Amino acid sequence: MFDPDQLSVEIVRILDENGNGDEEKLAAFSDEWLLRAYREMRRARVIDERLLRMQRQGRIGTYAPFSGQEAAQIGSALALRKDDWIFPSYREVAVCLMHGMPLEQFFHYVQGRLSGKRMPEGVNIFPTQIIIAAQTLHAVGCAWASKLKGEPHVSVAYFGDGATSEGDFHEAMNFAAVYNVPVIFFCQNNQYAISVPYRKQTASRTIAQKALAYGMKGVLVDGNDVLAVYETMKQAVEAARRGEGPMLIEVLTYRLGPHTTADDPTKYRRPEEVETWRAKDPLRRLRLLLERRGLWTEAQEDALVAQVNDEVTAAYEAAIASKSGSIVDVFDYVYSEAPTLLAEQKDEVMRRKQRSGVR
Amino acid sequence: MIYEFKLPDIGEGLHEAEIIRWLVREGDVVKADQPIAEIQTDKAMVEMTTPVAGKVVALAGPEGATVKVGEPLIVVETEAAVAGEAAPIEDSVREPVPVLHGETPRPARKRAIAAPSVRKRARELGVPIDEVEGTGEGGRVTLADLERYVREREAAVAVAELRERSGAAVLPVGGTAIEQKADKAAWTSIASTELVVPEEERIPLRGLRKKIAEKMVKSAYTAPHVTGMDEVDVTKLVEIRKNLASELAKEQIKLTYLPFIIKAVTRALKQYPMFNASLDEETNEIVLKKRYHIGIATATKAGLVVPVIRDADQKSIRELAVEIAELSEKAHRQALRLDELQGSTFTITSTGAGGGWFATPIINYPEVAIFGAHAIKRRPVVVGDEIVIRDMMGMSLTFDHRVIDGEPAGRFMRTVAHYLENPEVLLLDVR
Repeated sequence: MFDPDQLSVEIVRILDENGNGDEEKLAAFSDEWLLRAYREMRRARVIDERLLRMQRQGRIGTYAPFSGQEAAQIGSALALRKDDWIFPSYREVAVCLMHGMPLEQFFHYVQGRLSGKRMPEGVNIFPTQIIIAAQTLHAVGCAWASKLKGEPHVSVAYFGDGATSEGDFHEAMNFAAVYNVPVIFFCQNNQYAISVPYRKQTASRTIAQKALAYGMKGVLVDGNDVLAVYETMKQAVEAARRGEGPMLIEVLTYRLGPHTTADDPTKYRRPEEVETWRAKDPLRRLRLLLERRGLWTEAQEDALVAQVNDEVTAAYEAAIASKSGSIVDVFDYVYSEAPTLLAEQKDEVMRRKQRSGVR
Repeated sequence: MIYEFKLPDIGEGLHEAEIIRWLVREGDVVKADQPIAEIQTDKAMVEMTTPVAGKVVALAGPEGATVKVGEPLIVVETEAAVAGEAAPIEDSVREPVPVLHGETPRPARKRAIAAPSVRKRARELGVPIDEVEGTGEGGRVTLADLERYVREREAAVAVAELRERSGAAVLPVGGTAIEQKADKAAWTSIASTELVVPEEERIPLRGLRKKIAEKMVKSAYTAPHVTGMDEVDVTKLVEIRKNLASELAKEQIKLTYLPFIIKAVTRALKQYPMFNASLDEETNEIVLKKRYHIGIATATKAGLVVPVIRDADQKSIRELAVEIAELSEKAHRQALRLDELQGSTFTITSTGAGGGWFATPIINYPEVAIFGAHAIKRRPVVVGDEIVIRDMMGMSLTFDHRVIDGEPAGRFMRTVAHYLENPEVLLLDVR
């Protein structure tokens, strides 16, 4: 008999809250790598904060901020190859930026432009999935295709703790394990599914342990430690690439902001709890390490922030200057070749459009 | 350049937000993305930042004021225009935030806890939900709390109106009150820096008034209304009522014409069941009502209410007189219970001496007809070949032409007229 209380799941951590860690393990990371990880995380944070403000100014639509989850997102994305496939939820902006999504592209998305969902050729990111956990199935399908075609690509499904309560998650996990496909289930457990806390989401002590039931490897990682996330992800991805099958990675993290711009987290989280997690900020601990190694200064920080702010402004301006969509666009992107009925509908819309002079 | 920062929909489908705290004042020079205010939406407390840099020229209102989505939150003179005077303005010369509303700013209030359905209902009722005391779990505002609030407010309206009549100052009842129009005037005044007297006053459509408006619209735009009118010779009825009124006066009972009209109408309804009916649009069925609950349109200070006399056909003239007096008195005290306002099968509106000779009453939907009894006047009429003076009453009948045609409507009116012209016929069935 299995007793969940007897199960022990250890958390993988390299860098602690104060930027300290086992020197031997730390030595595996070059100064360049550390700097790159920090720059990407800082860039993501600046972008996130700007986007939140821009939403409050009516410049973009509903937005799901990710501040606090930069290590989870940047660390995991850094471990991927460009050809690997990403299946994001709506909070994976940092992952997508890291994997090649142009920032301007994201503005198209949050401004409701159809082009926002269409990644440039060569950027292997599926359209943002709003339906909770649906992308886990898509990722498995894609991974299965890679396996059948003999391509060395790994698919990564990004989802949150709430998604693990969905039926799709079960189906995806089961299928992936049975068919031994190269997929990573990357769960950012930020401890709240909107307002539902983890303890009301699942009776499992960890999400990682759910992997056992599917006959899959599972691992729990400190999600605010970019080194641990990267190292774990790298091992998982390489194992999948070698044909060793899927893995479930639970990264324990915390979203510092609201679920989306339409949410008020003070309704369901105590300020003390948020403060506790602010102390565990993924950027802070890496910066402490960089400073100790003499790799980072306040001036560098300021310059980076200013540079990213300019980058955001430029991307925003480029997006609003670009041509906005037309009603007929909605017919163009679902099928490579439009079925008769859809073609007829498009013709009709175009005729009406001509008559009424609608854009 | 003057930039109006209009409140965007920062949630998903927001209508308005309340200003909780200003973080800038008029005259302040702000940078782009600088926080300017904390606002409270239906969903969250949100810090707003300005999209542009410049000098704050105007704020939407005092803390506690409500701003609608799409209305300006602040007005900023952008940097190009203020380049020459970019230095921050000294505290000592700062003016207080101009109060753009007639209202005194209220202190920041508690934020009500309530389900979306309750919030929606509160909006429909025009109830400021944050002012409603919640009795549900954890202080949640429930539908019952809203009902209680509306009852109390309606009572307060009556009190306020009394005060108004007696010349005392009247407080706006139910919170936010009259502000939208004042808003506009306020923006004008900022622009022209002089006080503008509003050209109109805006009274929120709320409570009973709103309910009346909704019911009238529903009726008028659902049932195709046709109104028939006629005169009826009530000379005999005038005589009889006078005699019986003095009889009942000994018992302190006031006797109006209404009990006679009710008797005449209920007798006619028994002969023409289609008039005591409703149309079930879901099932496409005409529902004939087997009991005769008569609604009595009653004017009160707060507006029109329709208390119901149940089984009016079973009641005597005396019983009707007593019940009408009771209901009328309760209506004026706004003390009618919900069950006294529901379930009518046919309605009578008696505009009496003060009303005109004829009217086109609107059906008390979903009923299918309404009878109007109007002024009684002494008029010259032709009887036989002579012109004589008779007591004549104007009457009208509005009916739902989906259910009733003109011909039966005419017969129904003649039947009612017959009983009113010959009230002694009513004696035939007295038990």
